[in-house]
Amino acid sequence: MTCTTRTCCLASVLLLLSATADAAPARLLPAAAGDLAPKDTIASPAPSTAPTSGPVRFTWPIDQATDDLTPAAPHRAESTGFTRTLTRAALHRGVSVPVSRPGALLKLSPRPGRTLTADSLVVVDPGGRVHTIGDGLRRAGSDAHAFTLDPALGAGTFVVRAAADGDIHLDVRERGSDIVLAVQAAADVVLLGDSVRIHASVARGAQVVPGVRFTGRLVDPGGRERGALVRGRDGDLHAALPTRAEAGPNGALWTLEVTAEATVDGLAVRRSVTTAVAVTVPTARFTGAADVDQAHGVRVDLELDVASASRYAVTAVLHGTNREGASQPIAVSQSADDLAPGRRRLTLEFDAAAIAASGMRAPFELRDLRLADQGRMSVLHRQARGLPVTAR
Amino acid sequence: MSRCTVLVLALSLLAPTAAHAGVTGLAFVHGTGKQTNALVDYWTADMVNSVRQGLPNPAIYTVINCDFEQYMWDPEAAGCLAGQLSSFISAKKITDLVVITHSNGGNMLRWILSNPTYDSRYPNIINKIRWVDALAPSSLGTPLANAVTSGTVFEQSLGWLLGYNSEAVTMQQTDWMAFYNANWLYGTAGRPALPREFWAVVGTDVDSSPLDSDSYCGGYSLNVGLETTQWWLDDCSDGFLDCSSQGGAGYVWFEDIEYTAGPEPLSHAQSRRNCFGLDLFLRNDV
Repeated sequence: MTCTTRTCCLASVLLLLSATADAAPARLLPAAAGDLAPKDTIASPAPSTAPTSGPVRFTWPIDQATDDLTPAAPHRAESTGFTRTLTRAALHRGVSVPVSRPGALLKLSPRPGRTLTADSLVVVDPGGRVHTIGDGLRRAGSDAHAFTLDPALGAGTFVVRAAADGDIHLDVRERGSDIVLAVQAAADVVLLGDSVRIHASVARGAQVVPGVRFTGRLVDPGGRERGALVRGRDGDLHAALPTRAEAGPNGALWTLEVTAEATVDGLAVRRSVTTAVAVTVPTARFTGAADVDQAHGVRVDLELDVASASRYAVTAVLHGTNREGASQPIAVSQSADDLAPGRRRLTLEFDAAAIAASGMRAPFELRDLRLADQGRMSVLHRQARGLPVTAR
Repeated sequence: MSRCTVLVLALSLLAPTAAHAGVTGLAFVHGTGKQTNALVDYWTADMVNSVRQGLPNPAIYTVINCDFEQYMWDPEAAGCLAGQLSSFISAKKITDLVVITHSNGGNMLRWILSNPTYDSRYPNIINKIRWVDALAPSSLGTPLANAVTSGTVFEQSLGWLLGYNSEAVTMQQTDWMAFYNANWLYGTAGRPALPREFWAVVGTDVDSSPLDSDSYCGGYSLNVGLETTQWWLDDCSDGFLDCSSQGGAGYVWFEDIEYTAGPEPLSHAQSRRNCFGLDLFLRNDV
């Protein structure tokens, strides 16, 4: 609905004034462990590219239990294989490829514009026997450069030799292996200038493999390496983020590449995996101040400290109290507008009819409170428990 | 006169989702790729013409053509989709819209459903949608996208999915989709539900035997290519996506072999075509 008449504008202003008259000041709960809540704002030189302008609000009911809405832990990436870049010269001499599970798949990918001579491919097994396609190596599907090792060749360190006119990307897939590399970032959103921390481990079944050598690097959204991952005293891998970074594509993530090398039952094992995090410039933050109006449902004005002009969106889930006295989600509300630097406000509205239809009553609470910079595709604030709304 | 801008409280409770009175329309939303004639190049006319027979007026349909090589929030991706859906809704006076998506097209719809304030056109689209039938949606991404991004080159027959190492492929890496699901998209485990129901059809396997005529539905060479990729995937996959990814958002409507003729699995190439009676299920649903 677009208001284009004087009457409509006047009605909106009167509605706003009447709502404001019933508003009561409130404050957000303190951020808790696991929340994302920047203490300061930083102006960003990156342009805001939101596709629309003007305020838009949208609210929809949800029929879910509180237990259905759980803060997600950062992604846990797992791998039972590895990738590696092979130079033309190394491949010509022969490259050692550790295989811990019989029957692994090997795939060689020439870089675009480069070629690999399929007939030149030979694999030397751990016993020193030489194999070619059809003799110990089985072509996988119709892919000319993918093959599986005959399971009868067993596990161990193989040597791959081939003729190519450029670098080759090697994939080794040990599908079904019980030796798994797992990595998980401590947080999936990190502020520019902070440190990325990830936990990495190799396990065989439920047993953690000791003595693993981890290496890794941090890669920005443009594909540039931005530092090595180093092992901290806590045993986790760390990488310091730069204090300044060129603006990459809005919404693109930073990648952490991790490689693990270990020895299990006398066999060399290699694994690699990637995971991703968002690096955020806190262009705005909640000040903590709010006004709550319960005259017609629940309406919450949230105050922001804005450092860079952009389109900002606030989202929250309203929880109410069910007949058993337990908290239960009612609806999601999202509100966005273009905001200039300074103290600004965004308003979430939960209509009285929607609340009545849910059967919930006070006390209410805003949970999963979030703030996003839509113009830069940045997540700025995430708070599991945001604002209690007590009965009038 | 000064501008008094949009202030909409779009209450889904009041939306006409239960009764499909009014004008029902159908939209087909393709997956990864830049399409200029998705009717022919992506879906095939046989598929589209069969499904739209289920409409009260079979002429009220649209086949979307956008650049889904981009990130989902890009103006050429979800922005283009919003433009074409808005035009369709407006021109045909649609009050009840069923959307059929394939693959990454499901993410495009979820972007709109999850970020209604990102674009002022989104609320009207959402309010018109009855539900989304998501064929093999890449809701949790695919390990194949991780492989391509790291340098693996798959054969040419997979070019329609993975051949260009585009932003869309980068976005569909499993770790990237985990981030977007946790921060920008709704409907996955632990997250609030979407404002409209998102029903997934899950493909569970790939048949690529040259002696099996079922391998030829959707294109034999495409199915053979999808056989190789299963080395990157779980035992349950359609050759491009793990079943867990396809069922990772919204609700699982059915797994292919529960209802397909045969019962035959739907590879990722087949779940956009009229293979094994899929078109009839969709027809009866609109």
